[in-house]
Amino acid sequence: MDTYLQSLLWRSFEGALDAHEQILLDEALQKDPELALEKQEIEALRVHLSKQTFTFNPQFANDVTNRIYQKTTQTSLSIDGTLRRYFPRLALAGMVAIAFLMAQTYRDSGKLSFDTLSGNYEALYDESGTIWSLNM
Amino acid sequence: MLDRLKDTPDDQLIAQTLAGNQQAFGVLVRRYERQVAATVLGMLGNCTEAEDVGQETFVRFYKALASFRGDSAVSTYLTRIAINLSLNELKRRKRHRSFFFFLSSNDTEKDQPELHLPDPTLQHQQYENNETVLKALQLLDEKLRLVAVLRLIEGYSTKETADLLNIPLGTVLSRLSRAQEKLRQIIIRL
Repeated sequence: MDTYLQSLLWRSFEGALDAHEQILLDEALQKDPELALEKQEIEALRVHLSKQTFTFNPQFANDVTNRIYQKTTQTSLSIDGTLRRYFPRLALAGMVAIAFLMAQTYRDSGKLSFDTLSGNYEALYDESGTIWSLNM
Repeated sequence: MLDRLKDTPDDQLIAQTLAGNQQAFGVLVRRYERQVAATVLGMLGNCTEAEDVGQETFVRFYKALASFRGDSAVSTYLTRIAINLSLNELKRRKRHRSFFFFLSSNDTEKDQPELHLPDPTLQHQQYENNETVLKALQLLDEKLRLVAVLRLIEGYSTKETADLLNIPLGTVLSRLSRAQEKLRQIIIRL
């Protein structure tokens, strides 16, 4: 499809064509069924979107005024709300710290195990599993 | 009381709200809630956060009432707030997705709107299918979606859309063309 004609078609929906462009487009629409179909589909789409109505729940206005009233009289946030709000940030910071410490441990000891993570880089065990020497 | 306030102009309702009349603000909310809903639901889709964003839009407006000088219409002012809050919510979603992506590899798929595809032989009728068109809208890039919502759903002119988004008119026209083309392609594919 001719991209110039297509751009004319798009612009025509916003009324941005001059007389010459309009004639060109009208002729093309008569000759090119693909362009004509595209026009038809865009028109259908635009009509459909313009007919859309959006609503919140029926109590929306009351909810808003209640919320404003609560906000102006009650300044403290509930614990539940605070936790919900800050948990993702705290969790992210914690995970970054853990990842950093694990990377540091791996760099220093060359392996990751319970001992290295707890700081015992060279713990030695006897046969019963008792630690008898720690080289920190 | 409410009936009497219904026909009161915006500036008087604002003055009454500032004087402590909560019902006056309630009338403003009822007057503009559909418009805010169009912006928020168009941008975020029908989700639980949309209602919160809608409420927050009016809460911010209420807080700014004392400094509202009426340079722009209330509707424009509210739409600007709704756009900013919707974009913030979309950013929060993206951060949330990237933070938790490792917990479930299917998470991104879950967050995408579900597409219940109708019979492909009924392509043309799909434009009449509310759900399909709205879900297709959610699949658009944010910038394209925003222009489509303001121009095609809310009915702002291209000039008003450009002013609202603080972008050149040419950019609005090109984004609008791309938005419509992509919507058309998405709907045909469904």
